Amino acid sequence: MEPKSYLRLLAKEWKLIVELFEANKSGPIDFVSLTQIVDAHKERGTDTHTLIEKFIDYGILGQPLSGETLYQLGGLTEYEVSHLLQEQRLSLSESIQAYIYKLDDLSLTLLKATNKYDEFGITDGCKKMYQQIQDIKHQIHSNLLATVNIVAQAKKSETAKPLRQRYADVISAWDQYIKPMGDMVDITGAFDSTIDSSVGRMEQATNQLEASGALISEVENVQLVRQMLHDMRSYILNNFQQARDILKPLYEVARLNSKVTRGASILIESIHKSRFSEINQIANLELYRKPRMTLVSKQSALMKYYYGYREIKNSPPPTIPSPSVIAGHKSKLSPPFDIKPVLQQLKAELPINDVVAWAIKSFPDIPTDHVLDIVQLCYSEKILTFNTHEQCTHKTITHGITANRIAVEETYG
Amino acid sequence: MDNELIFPPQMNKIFEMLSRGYHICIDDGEMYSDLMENEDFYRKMFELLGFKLSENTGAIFYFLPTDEKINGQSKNFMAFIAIMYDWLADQGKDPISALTEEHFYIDQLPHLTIDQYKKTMGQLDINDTPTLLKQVQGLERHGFLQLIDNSMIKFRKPVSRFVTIFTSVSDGGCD
Repeated sequence: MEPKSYLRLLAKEWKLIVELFEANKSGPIDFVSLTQIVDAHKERGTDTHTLIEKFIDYGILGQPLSGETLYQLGGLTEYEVSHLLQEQRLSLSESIQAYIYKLDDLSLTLLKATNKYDEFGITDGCKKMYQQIQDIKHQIHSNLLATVNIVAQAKKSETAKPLRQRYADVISAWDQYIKPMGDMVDITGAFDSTIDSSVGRMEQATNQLEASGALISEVENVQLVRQMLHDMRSYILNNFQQARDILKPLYEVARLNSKVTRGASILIESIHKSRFSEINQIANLELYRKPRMTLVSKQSALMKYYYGYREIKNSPPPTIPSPSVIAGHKSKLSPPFDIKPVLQQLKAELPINDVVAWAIKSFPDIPTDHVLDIVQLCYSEKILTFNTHEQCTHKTITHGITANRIAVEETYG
Repeated sequence: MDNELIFPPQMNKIFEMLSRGYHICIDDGEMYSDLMENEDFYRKMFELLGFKLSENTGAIFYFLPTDEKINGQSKNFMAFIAIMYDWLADQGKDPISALTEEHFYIDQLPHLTIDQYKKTMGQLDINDTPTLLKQVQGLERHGFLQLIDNSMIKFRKPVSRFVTIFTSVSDGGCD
């Protein structure tokens, strides 16, 4: 195959080849699909089968399995098209790792050649290392472009690809490339130590050649490789960092959204199949439910605080009443409290110097919560005005209360 | 009055709302800022009164239940929101942000208009619009959404509680 005629064909059938490239992303293309694509995009007057055969001759198309009518884009064509479209495929971090380990092997081979003063071995080793470094740099840059592409696809609002799939691609890119690659370039990972080891061997080889004065012409080549290793290290880190920074915000969103939609689907399915006990096990939205209030108003509990509830002590137990009275009160909830007669009596006895003491004295059998209900009554009745004074202690049948003395009088004016 | 005790200005309202099961968030203006400014006071006070204020819930405040029973309302709410997320994701939207950023009309909700969801809601005895509206009103009472003119819904920040729950379901654990 002549390069010129290959490039000419590539340029002439560019639109068709891009279509084949897109179709090939989902795997090998069967013969029927292939002829349909070629039919739809070939130039007028061109025979479909002749064109397919020409593509095969030029390596633009290949057959992955012998005896099967399946086709895929040739490696070179796929590389060129992806490069020109900047639509690189994300390779796994393992492939980068494998490249770096291979580089390590090559550096060892080169050092061995230096030890033997094998001129051909050194030249060949330098060439192979140079090529390997270029391949790694190319791969890492391709991964950056692939990441950019994944992010762009995921952010597209108008696309046939469902959001869930786009998010799945983002998560997959993170899990298969960014995360393991991050582990590799981490301070404890294999990346630095492997490159350091290769750099060290290049320095060793340089020193040895310089010290012996033999094959001095190769020193420059070895030094160049060493310099390229340093350059490759920063290139990899820089490209990887960029890829990570681009993908990370979307990954966070995708991961959360995927988890939420998945969790939601699980719940819907469980409800759909009436697996309610399962739902109780896997999910629970804890909701506060107001208990039945036996007190005067909705805000009783809070009002109690106003009037010294925080000072109420039920431990140690109160000492005033007889054990039988306490037992009687403990065994049942306080009955609803009728405030009307209390209010009448209260009004009749105004002004009251200490309402807590008055409540305990006037209604000796009522428990603490009802004593406090009376205090609250004084607060909530517009015709009553209250004033707080010094702290004092009272004893109800169930509790000791330390609270400010509250004087109550009629509201004037 | 002498020896007058001074309490945070929104105390009564905050207590009243929280004790109804309402979730207070930044959208609640004065109540929220009062809670944020006096969080320690409120925590201690509620604890003394036997109430437990939510913790580490991202600037959303609510009372935790005193018992561990799972009530039907909780299940209905989870189903309602799960359907919203599922539906939004199916439309190619980012469901978490779409739920709080968009408005939804009750008559266009997917729960009774899309067959698959209708069946799910049927399992919870929610088969018609009035019953669905009751769920919406329940969610409003708890501060998960705002119901505008009885026809339009705007979800509020406390719906993030469902994000936590569904994430947990996805991870195979409990909230």
